[in-house]
Amino acid sequence: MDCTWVRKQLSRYLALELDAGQRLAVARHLQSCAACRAEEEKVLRLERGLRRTLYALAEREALRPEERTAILSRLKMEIGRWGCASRSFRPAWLWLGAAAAFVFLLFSLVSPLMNAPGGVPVTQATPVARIATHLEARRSTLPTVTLSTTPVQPTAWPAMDLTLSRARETVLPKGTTETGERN
Amino acid sequence: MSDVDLVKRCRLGDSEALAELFVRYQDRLFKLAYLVTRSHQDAQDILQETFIRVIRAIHTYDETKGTFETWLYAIAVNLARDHLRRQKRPFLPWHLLDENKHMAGRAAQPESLSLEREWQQTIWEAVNSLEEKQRITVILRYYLDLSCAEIAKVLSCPEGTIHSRLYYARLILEQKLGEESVQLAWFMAQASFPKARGKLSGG
Repeated sequence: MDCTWVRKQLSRYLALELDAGQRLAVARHLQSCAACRAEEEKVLRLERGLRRTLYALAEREALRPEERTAILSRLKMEIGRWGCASRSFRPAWLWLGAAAAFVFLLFSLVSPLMNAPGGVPVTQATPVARIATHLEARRSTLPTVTLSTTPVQPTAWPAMDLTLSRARETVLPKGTTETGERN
Repeated sequence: MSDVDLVKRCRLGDSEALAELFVRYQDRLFKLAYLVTRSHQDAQDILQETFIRVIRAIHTYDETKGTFETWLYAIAVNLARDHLRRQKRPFLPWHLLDENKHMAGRAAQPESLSLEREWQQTIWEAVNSLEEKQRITVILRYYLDLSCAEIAKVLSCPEGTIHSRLYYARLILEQKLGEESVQLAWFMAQASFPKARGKLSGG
């Protein structure tokens, strides 16, 4: 067993953080190696000293009651602002989207009931229902269009003079040749 | 009630649950921040800021990734490191940390307690000579009694890094305290170290 490896494990060995196999290996090595046993003692003393020192130093400082009260009231303010919960931390757009979806769903459910016979009188209904009634009234005033099923017969095209002279007379001013010169 | 239950209640908007968490952890968080920053005022600010962050980010805490306690310590340590970076506070010797309390207590102390204070001062100075990461790791290990796995979660680094940080910190401390280790051994044999503080069952 390598002494360097054992010495690196000593702190964890003393804190019982090694697994069973490693712990056994370190314990067996310590039984047979006096130098590592001395190192173990040193580590133990140093760790005790560190714990005792840090503990003593920390114990000298404590939060005073008025400081604690001030922090708690600051935290209460923060809770009031944020709500102290995930429900309040959800972004605003999520709430707006959910509200819009709810309103849309509500109207899509209510609108068919408004138009149904025996439904809620539309005159006392929502603005959307009034708009629907108005559109219905406008539709009744429009001319009725019926679609014929008989095929449409092609009509004769009017006779057209497509000769060049006729076109020239139509397009060019009188007294002008095709090249743009005046006669 | 366990931390997990309190966190769940907090998420539902129960401010009493947050107050309970504050009462449960305020002392250790304050002292941790004090040991890292070496300033009462900074420790107070860090404690307050830690809980403000908890209020704002409680929904991001994932209990499958670690205990609430380690999450809280991680927030506090990050804030303390930010404070140190901003202020670049110089190392304060033991007697300047709180001179009045120290001197007032010293006059009435028997010789053994005076020796103890001297030793604590020596160890504190050795701890403060460590680089920041090593020093914070040592504080988490020997003040809060966190395991290497817990420290790794607090500092967001691999467990192996914590092992080697602690090992090299120990070598440096042994080197600095080397000549007086016999005296330290004598003192430690005399002193009755308070029983190891049990960790909270919550989380």
